[in-house]
Amino acid sequence: MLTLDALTQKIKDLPPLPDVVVKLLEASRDPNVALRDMVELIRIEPALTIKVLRLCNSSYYGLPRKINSLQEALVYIGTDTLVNFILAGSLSAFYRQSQDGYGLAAGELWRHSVGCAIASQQLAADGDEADRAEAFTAGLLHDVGKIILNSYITAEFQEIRAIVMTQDVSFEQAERDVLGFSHTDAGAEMAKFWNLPDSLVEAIAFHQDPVRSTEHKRLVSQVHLGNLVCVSFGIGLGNDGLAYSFHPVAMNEIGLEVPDLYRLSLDVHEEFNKAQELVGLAAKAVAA
Amino acid sequence: MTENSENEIEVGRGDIQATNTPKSCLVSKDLASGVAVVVYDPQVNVAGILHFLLPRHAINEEKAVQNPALFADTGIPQLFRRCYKLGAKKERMSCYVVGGADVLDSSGAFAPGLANTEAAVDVLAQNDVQITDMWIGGRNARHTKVFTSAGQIEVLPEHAKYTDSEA
Repeated sequence: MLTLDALTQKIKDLPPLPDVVVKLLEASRDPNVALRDMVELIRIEPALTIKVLRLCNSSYYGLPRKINSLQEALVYIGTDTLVNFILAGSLSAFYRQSQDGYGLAAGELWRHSVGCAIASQQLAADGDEADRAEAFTAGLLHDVGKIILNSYITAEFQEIRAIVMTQDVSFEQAERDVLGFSHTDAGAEMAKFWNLPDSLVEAIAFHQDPVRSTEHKRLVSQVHLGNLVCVSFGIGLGNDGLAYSFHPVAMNEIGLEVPDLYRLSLDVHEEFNKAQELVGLAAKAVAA
Repeated sequence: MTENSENEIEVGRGDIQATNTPKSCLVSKDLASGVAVVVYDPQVNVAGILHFLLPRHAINEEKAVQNPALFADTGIPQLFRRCYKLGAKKERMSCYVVGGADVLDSSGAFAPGLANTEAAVDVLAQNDVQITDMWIGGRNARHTKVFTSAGQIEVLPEHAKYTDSEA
């Protein structure tokens, strides 16, 4: 069994979140700060700026003209999308390794996370730009706990898999049964350690069991369904396969019927195919 | 069961590929709720795979026009037409159905894998195509390959036949 102390120690051994991520996420929840001003003020490293501009100029965004600076990006792309690109550019480094315990080759967890970010954002289409951007970020981070839990999964995989097969429960439930924690628990602890907003902590903690969400039901439901759309259509699958539980409460929260989800999945498929620059962030070495 | 192939052709999600190139194999990966229809004519060594995502084009007719391979009812006829162009004949063709897994859902509301499998079976039956074998359902994703030299079909993981069971 994994103890909370052991888990916390592993989290403390992680590299800190990049300063730019911390500042942007703090600013995004401070009503006294104009996020646009924050983007203009923060120092963004040249390597990250290059990545972000490449995303702005990729077919995923589909602008008719080339963007050459972050200031131009603010004008043509908007603050929230630019913040998404900056976050993606910064966070991808955490996802570069393989997670052998989960059967995920290098870059595959990132690929799934980008898919879930896109899907969650599509599910937030009825909200404002900030809602959509938050859904994107939550989708990007929802499985961050797999990075920490990976080595424990490797050791206990046969037992976890046996529970999944014999009891027909989710892989996440089986993780908790064997290890005492699941990757959603671990991810939530990581998010708290990094001082991420409560909304993201909740989305990471409860995206597989949205019934447990309290303050941010809508966001959690968006990530829950976004995750299932990706899993169902094979975007970034590991050896947990499709051992995920669907919770109809998430559909009620967003006001969707299943045919709506099928239609949306086609949009996700199309957007994901265009997002190969985003997907490729975890496959590229960081420039000096 | 594997064979060294000089030419591996990947079939993506919402995609159809057909070939008669010798020493080739078609491969479709990450078949989750999506379904692959795999066909082979041994007389002319034509192999084809359709990997579709959703059962019926009524879900989005506009997208079906742009890409018929997204749906069973528009993709399957297209697959067969592509194979006929390479000299295949329906009466000689073997046909396999692979995929259609689903997440856990006690309500039964969200089961795209089952819907896809049923649609594939329906469309094939309506077109008088006999299904040779199926690897469907369960909770595992699958990969599938078909080799032009012998019409060998591989489905991985190998134990994923009908329902999940440990090898």
